[in-house]
Amino acid sequence: MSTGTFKCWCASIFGIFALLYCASVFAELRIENAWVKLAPPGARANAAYVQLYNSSDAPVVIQSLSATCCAELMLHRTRYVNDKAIMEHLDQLIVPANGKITLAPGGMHIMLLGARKPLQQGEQIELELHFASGQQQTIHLPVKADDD
Amino acid sequence: MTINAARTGWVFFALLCLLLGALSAKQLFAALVNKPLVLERLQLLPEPKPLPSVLLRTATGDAFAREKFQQKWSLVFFGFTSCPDFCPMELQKLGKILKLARQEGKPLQVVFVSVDPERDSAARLAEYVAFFHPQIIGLRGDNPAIANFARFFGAAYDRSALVNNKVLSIPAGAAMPALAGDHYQVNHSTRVFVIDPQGQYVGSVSMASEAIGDSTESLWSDLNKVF
Ligand SMILES: [Cu+2]
Repeated sequence: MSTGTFKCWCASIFGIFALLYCASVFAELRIENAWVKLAPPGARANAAYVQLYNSSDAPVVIQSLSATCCAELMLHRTRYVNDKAIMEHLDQLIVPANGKITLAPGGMHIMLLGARKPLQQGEQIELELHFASGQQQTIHLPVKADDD
Repeated sequence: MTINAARTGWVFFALLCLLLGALSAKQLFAALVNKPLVLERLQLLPEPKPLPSVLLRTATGDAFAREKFQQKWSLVFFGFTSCPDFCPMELQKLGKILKLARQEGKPLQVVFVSVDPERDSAARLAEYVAFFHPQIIGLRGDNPAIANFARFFGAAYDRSALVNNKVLSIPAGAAMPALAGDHYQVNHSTRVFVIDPQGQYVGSVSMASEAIGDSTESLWSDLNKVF
């Protein structure tokens, strides 16, 4: 084998691996059942719920969230201790490799604070997931009164 | 030796018969006499507890005394209107139950007691409860009155704020200091308390289940068994 062919082989193998690597880095989460709960009048916050599926072989870490509709977004979990509901702050969300996580009423939720104007039923909210890898993903959530 | 073994065997057999007989008799007795109430979610108290005096007011400012719990069933829930996840979920379910009760002509009232009087003004409370059902009654009062009412049911709550990077915990009954600002946490009971038409606290149900799908139906079917 000549040096030229060898280099060529190396380059293409490297290329294939690079492509595979990129594919896994850019792997987006599959989003299901995403919605924002319509808040009662005068409410200070809305809760958003979603199911996140990760079909890649590496866990996906959501480091933060943002949305143009609202000043601040937080990750919370309602926990139950001795019959009391306690809201716990979460620093990040980890979607396990080849797994899913569910944000649903009474459990984990995204809290939307400081809406520029009250979120209306039927409205679509655009929300940005910021991953620890530096990547981002935009998801869309309709505002609904109930999960149906 | 063999006689002893045989005797032990007989004694054992006799004891077993006695035990089985007693067990089945007990079951039969329970089935015939007690007709046990099979409830899925509702936990009844061993004995009903008459309500103490109530020093709370509705969002329109009317006194809501103990007498208001007479002649109808009541479901009482403690929460706060800035609650984004748990309270709306609960009130939505209680609103559905109230609707079912109205449809079937069952006398029922749903009472939401705010444990956050500093932030929950009368106007805010009225708007909040009406969102879930126009007939839900919102109650408020001063901190000691709320704490007394909650203590009667064993409904725990507390509030906590972050002040100068330190967690400030405000127990039930105490006023929220102004320095805590407007953003603080309220931890509160997840139970719904059931009061009978004689004004007695008879039982409660925990709504803290993560599986929320059928809790409205199962609670409604339980309530129908005791109504
Ligand atoms: Cu929250």
